[in-house]
Amino acid sequence: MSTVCEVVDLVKHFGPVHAVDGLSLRVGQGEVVALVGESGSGKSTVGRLVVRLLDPTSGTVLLDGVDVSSLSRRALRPHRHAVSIVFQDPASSLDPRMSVRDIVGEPLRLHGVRRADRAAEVRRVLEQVGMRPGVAERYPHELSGGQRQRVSIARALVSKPRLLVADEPTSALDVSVQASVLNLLADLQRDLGFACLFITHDLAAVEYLADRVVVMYLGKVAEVGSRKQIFTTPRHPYTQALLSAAPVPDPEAQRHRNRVVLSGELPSQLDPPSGCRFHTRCPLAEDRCRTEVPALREMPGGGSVACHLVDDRGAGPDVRDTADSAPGTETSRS
Amino acid sequence: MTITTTDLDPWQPGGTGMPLLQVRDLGVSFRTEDGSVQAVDRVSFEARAGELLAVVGESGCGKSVMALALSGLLPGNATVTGSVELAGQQLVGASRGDLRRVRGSRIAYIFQEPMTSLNPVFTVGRQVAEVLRIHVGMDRRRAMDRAAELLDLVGIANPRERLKQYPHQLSGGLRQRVMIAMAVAADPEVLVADEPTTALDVTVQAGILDVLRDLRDRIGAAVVLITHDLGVVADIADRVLVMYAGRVVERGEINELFARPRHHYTVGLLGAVPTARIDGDEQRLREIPGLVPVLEEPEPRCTFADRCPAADGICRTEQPPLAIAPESAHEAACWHPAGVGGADSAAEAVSS
Repeated sequence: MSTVCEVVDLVKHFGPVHAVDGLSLRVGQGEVVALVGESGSGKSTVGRLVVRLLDPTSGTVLLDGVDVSSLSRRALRPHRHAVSIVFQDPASSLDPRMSVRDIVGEPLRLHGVRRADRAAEVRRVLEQVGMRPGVAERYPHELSGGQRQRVSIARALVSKPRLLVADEPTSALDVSVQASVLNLLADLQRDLGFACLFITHDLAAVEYLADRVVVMYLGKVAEVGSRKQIFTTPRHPYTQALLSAAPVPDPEAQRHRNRVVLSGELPSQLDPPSGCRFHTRCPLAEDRCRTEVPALREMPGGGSVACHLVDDRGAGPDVRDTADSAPGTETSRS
Repeated sequence: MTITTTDLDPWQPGGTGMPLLQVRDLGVSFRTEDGSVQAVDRVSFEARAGELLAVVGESGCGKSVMALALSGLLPGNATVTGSVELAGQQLVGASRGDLRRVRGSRIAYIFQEPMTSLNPVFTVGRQVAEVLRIHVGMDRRRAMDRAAELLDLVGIANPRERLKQYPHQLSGGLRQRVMIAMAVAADPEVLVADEPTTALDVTVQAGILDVLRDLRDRIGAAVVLITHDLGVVADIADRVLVMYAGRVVERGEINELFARPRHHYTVGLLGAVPTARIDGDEQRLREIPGLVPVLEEPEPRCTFADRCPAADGICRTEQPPLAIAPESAHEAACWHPAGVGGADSAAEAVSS
């Protein structure tokens, strides 16, 4: 599998705020990589760095082997069509004064495609996202939330990108609409074969859509693994806690699982904890975790993890074993 | 955690207590420039002491409007009909003075975004104490002491220190805990939580759900949880009310309803939640085609008919009553209930 996007040691500081602190990841041809984390983890900043809406403080972003993070605006332009982004809220990412035709055709216009050729392309891509050609005449306010998100996806795909960055594309949608957008993304990705960086906090969507999963915590990668490995044998205590905290819509199962309620909340990015950034909330933290930064180590059999408690064979404790299965009794609280 | 709530009632969790809130045929319509909109249509339910009732539905189903209508919190262009009885007291049509006395002391609310519900220029302590001074009549000192106890009750560490802080100094999860502390300060009989965890991360949400569960069990309030999240419902609810286009389409005990959904909307909703994809399997999520209708007035039909895979003539001409569904122990409003006669709903969800 050839690499479409490779991010190496990416750092982004906004003044004193350490949003992303040395992150590396790789998205292969035709692969969906989910970037998972909670608010403040820096996952959206990574998305914006990859499409170069932001300039990194340091580190590189390679698209098809070209380092786009250091190119000038002008030199970057030919590479812009290789990567697109879909944002969370289509209501605020679509210009209300533009028709769907102009919105979807705009990336082509910026690449100098003639009007007549644009119309055909717009029709083609609208059909791909399951919309009737007549929608081209409409304006965003005339569309439902799900339709607007389809327009956003059409705009992102019209330039036939090699990489699609989807930043919480379904988080603002109702569950039944969310299902249709996730189905659409899965279909398009399979048919068109683009690489996809799927940024989300929704673990259910990740389990449905992703091939590989990168779990972020406070600007760093906690764990990387295949979908199957992350969901069946998560190694990092944070991944384990995250999975145990996401409720599943099955009362029998939900009420008999081991749940971990983490103490406290995400520490400030102004002053990230020393050592392992998760140590302030980790039920298993030891002295070493407070002082030594754990390296992201590759594990035999695939995946990598940044945790002192996981040994070189990939074995380690599970925080869920420390939890009580009965709801209402907690292991810890803030 | 110390429990300091004054009169603990021995209600069992699961709602064996008496019905505290009885809602019958509650209707809400709004007059707008474009005509009238029927947001809530003849909703009936009861919430019992020590029970957590979840009202679940998607945007526009009327769940939040219904919640606000319970204590007359809707704007002037709303018309509320039907009956809301809070331990015998009728709230629909009650005077503004009566409603004001009820709100905050006997029926309390927690909303989605705690930052917009807290006053940024007053300390947390002052805001929690205010509830106690107004509704319980405590003096300043006692109110502060009690406020610290309440913060402890909702799982906030170092409550004395937190009382001196301003809302912006707290994280989202702590702010929501403060909101809950304010809501339970006057020992309300009914606690209405409208999407209380929607703005929070899952690891924080888990803690807030524990607090709600704990309060239900310990203070014996009837908790009405408004949510769109079926995972949250599965986690915490004793009973569920599924709303669609202003109406209750299905209601019943949690395990029963999730195991045997009989309304096609509920089946669709459960099937739309993403699940694990099996390698090599082209599994698709269930989509519900079409959009939620906006009703100008109550229509004598099933409002889900235009999106329903099982709809036929009768669905478009007669409104199905909410009645015990076949082969189940809960109620659904459907002429052609799903999963009846051996075809269980899980199989239906997969095959579609």
